[in-house]
Amino acid sequence: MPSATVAPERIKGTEADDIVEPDLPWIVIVWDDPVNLMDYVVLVFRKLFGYSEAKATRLMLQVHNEGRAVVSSGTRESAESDCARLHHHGLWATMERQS
Amino acid sequence: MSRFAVSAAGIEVTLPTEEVDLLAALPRMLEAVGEHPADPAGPRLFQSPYPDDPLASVEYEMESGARLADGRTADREVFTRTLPRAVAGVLLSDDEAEAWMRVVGDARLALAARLGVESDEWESRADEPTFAVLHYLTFVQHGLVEALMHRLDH
Repeated sequence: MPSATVAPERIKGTEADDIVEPDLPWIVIVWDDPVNLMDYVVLVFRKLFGYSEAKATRLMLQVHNEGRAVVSSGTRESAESDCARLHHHGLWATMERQS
Repeated sequence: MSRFAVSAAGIEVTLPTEEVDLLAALPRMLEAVGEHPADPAGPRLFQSPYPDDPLASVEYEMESGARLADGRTADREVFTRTLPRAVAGVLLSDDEAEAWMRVVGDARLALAARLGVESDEWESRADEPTFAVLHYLTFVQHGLVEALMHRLDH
């Protein structure tokens, strides 16, 4: 069937595979454990994340008193890297997508 | 006897022979963690950032597992190389002292897991033989942390 109209060319940028899902931040959580020393945890936060003594101490106390604290956030890749470094230092760390 | 002396050059560790002999057993103990499925130290040292997602855990293990193992092996090598010299006194760099700190720290975690430690109640039971080694390792760990903290602040 002839048609007077010409099929439009596919317009780039409108297909579903061009839509990039925004890289939602992931959060890294350190959990309380009965073995790691409080001053050790402070030192690890300072060394790994470059946090000030005050910030590292505040996070350590949050872990100790509340059972957990969010210590960093970022892309999935950077959160996995932070978890791996925390695991290398024996801290109990998990990550989850920020809701 | 000051076991951990901080100076501008680094951290000088001096330990009695008996303590060096005890610590010398740690690398071998840590190498064996994970070999036996029933060892409670395994899950403590080999964690997943995704405890509720087995698939993501496997992917993470494939991507990061080897790097973590390499890091631990390097720590144990530093520890094994420098430890014997602690009898006469060995000067550690910050990096070397951190390697010691991670080896002693992993040993504490592994031991505590095997002893079934689930609360910090063990801290007040220093006189019980069961917890004697854990307390000694805690003492060493504390000395290293204090020295490294001092180096970081000065």
